[in-house]
Amino acid sequence: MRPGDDGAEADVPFATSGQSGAPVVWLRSVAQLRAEAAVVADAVVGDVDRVVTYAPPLHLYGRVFGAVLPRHLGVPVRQLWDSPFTPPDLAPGSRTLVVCLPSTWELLDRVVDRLRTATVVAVHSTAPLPPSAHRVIAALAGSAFRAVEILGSTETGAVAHRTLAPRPALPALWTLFPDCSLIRTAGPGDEQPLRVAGPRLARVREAAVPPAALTLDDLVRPVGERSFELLGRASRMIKINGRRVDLAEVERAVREAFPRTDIVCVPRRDRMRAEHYDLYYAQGPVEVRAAEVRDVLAAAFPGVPVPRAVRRVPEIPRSVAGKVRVDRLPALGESGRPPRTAPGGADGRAH
Amino acid sequence: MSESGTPETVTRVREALSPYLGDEVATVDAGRDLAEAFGERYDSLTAMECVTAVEAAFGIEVDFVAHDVRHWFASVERIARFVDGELEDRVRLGSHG
Repeated sequence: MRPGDDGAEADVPFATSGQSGAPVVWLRSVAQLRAEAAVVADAVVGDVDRVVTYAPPLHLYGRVFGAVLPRHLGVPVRQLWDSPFTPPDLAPGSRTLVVCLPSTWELLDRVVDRLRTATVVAVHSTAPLPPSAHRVIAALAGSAFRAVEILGSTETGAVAHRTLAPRPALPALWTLFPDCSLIRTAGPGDEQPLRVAGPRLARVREAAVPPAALTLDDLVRPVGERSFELLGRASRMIKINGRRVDLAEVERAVREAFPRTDIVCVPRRDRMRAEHYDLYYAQGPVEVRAAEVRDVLAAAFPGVPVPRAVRRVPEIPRSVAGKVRVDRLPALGESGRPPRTAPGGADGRAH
Repeated sequence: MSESGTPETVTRVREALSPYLGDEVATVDAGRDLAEAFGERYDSLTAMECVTAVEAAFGIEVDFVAHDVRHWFASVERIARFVDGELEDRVRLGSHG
């Protein structure tokens, strides 16, 4: 089925890109897609005259916000997902929904004055907010600009949302969408995996029906009946360009290729991609070049982003318990080169 | 302005792009389309990174409204021409300011 063509009633496939093995295909019914559009329209979007989307319709987020939602609202949509340098055209007084990727915020940051003249709702999903998002939100404080973050996955669809405020004292709580429920697996006030149930869960191709509930890779602390605090990830999984990268898998692949080479992958914030990782290795008995490490990973995980930087160090610093001391590893700039100044952490939020 | 950017600018552009496109950018034909040469590696995010890298390397600012960024950042040669043009404009404006 072509992107944007929901005319047929067949289930729509969305693949989650694992590192090893074939991608898992999740099927979502057209009714589920429409239900998701209706839910997000009511809960976070409100009245808009048009949609400008930078999210490709290949993925669920882009499909819902860039195709199904505009149809649900009966408004035109401009597809700019293959044109990331093109600013949204905002007529003064118009109400526009801008569907963002991490890199979109860099663009919005450069045209921030334009955003003051119109009513803009910006939605963000799938990755932590980059520093440019916080700059835009702060610059537009007091205007009609509103930014909303969506938490969800290919498997579950949109689960929760929160409105982003400039310079909040504390990270905002996430609010479940009305048709989602959080299944408690821990005592009150305790952290737990984000386990959700609801009518929009997808089914794997091999299953006749969706599961009753799904557990995401997020750790949360429930607050009240319908809200939660997002604490971080339960595993060492990160997402780069929508691709899931398990850093433990990366380390295993390199160790297999270069036995007796000590190695660690460190997740990093990234200006454009929001998340990325650097790889450090300590020389074993056989000389290994950084390019060889990249080649091994490119061959082991085709299509999966290789580390932003591969750096050889004299040794991987570890605590007496064997835990890697990330704070003692040399810092690298976003280009993979040592930064001119110490990394500042302009954006320290968990999600 | 040089038709292809000055050799010095071409070299510096290659240096600015190398952290994002790898060592191959040092030898890729300056006129070759980067998307064609690097395939998926020159995706929209990388292109955006290259824009900011060139800005930082030359102390210029790319105007996403006034400049046709997609056109100018399609090859090393065009980036170098763009940079030289911006630097020349700056000198011209500075000398009349």
